[in-house]
Amino acid sequence: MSTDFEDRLRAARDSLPKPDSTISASVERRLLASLPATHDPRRRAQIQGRVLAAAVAFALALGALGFGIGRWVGPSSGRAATATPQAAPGFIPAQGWNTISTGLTKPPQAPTALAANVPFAAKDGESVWAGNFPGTTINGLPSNGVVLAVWLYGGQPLKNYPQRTQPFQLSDAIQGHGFEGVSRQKADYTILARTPGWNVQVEVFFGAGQPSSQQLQLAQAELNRLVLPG
Amino acid sequence: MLFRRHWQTVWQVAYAVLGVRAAADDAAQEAMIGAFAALQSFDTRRPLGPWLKRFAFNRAVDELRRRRARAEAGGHGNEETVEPWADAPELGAGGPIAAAVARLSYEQRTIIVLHYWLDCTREQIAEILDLPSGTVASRLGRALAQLRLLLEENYVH
Repeated sequence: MSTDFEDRLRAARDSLPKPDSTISASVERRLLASLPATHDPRRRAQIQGRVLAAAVAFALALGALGFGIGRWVGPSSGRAATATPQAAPGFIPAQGWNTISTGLTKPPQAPTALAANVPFAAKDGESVWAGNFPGTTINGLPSNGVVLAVWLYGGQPLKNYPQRTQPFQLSDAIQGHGFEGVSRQKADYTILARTPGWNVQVEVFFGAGQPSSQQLQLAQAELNRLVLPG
Repeated sequence: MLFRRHWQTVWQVAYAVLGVRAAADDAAQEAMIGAFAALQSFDTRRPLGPWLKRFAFNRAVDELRRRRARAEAGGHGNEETVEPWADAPELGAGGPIAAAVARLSYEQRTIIVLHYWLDCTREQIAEILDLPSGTVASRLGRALAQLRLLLEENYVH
């Protein structure tokens, strides 16, 4: 039988702090990255097939809406790319960019989309195709290099993931350094967002510690090409 | 998913011991990763929650000992505080009861948090802290008495 004092003590439980959403997402990704990576060539072919199917779906959707890919290129276009509901997370293809999408993976793996204006490093290898963090690519970025990494977490809305509409804006990002072993010489812009059905984490990495306005425009243009499942 | 079901509690156990957010981040992360790596050896007939909390508690205590050792050796910066809860404004701002909990010793504070805020039974606490259940009961009683004293004497405003 609990006393009145114990009841008051229990009622104060909300005073106990909760973990920050950024560290929570970071730990979750580390755990997912520690899961055995698949080296099954058939699995890789499946992923590649999904990427191709998604690219075709994007092109067909844009064609049906009467838009050309060229319309989306440019800084802060202010117009979000649209996607069919079943389309995977990914970036609309653009010259000078390498992109990867895992497709809508099954839990616990978070659907992941990556984009870089440099080739993905050989050392990142097969794991990059599985959506794992391209740390070597990022640490080797030249001064004008940019990598975008996007993770989707399903379920209930997470605290600190505000409702946002696309295109996400770099001006809304939190700027930092040293993300998950990335050299502190590389700038890192973080955007957290809640979209219909997803908590979205976007990390934009620059080869420079202080990206120029031109580099920010380049990254924003690629961010404008991000397509999320609706 | 296992992570999302248990992460917050694992982190809160680490925070209960350390009282410093950054330290809790590190200890909880180590605990979660270590626990997942050891999942293959886990007896699935047992509940997972207390097992994870034990990982968190042990990692947090290891971190606390490291910080105390560094402080005694002339460590640097706020991170090396021997009494981390002196820097726990988050809990201190949670009202008089929370502030009183923050002023307990880490042994008493952990047992209060585990029982009253994280809903662990005395048997589960005994497993987490690796103590006899009778010891848990007596520590819980002393912790409650100390809390009453702190509140009645208006140590907390």
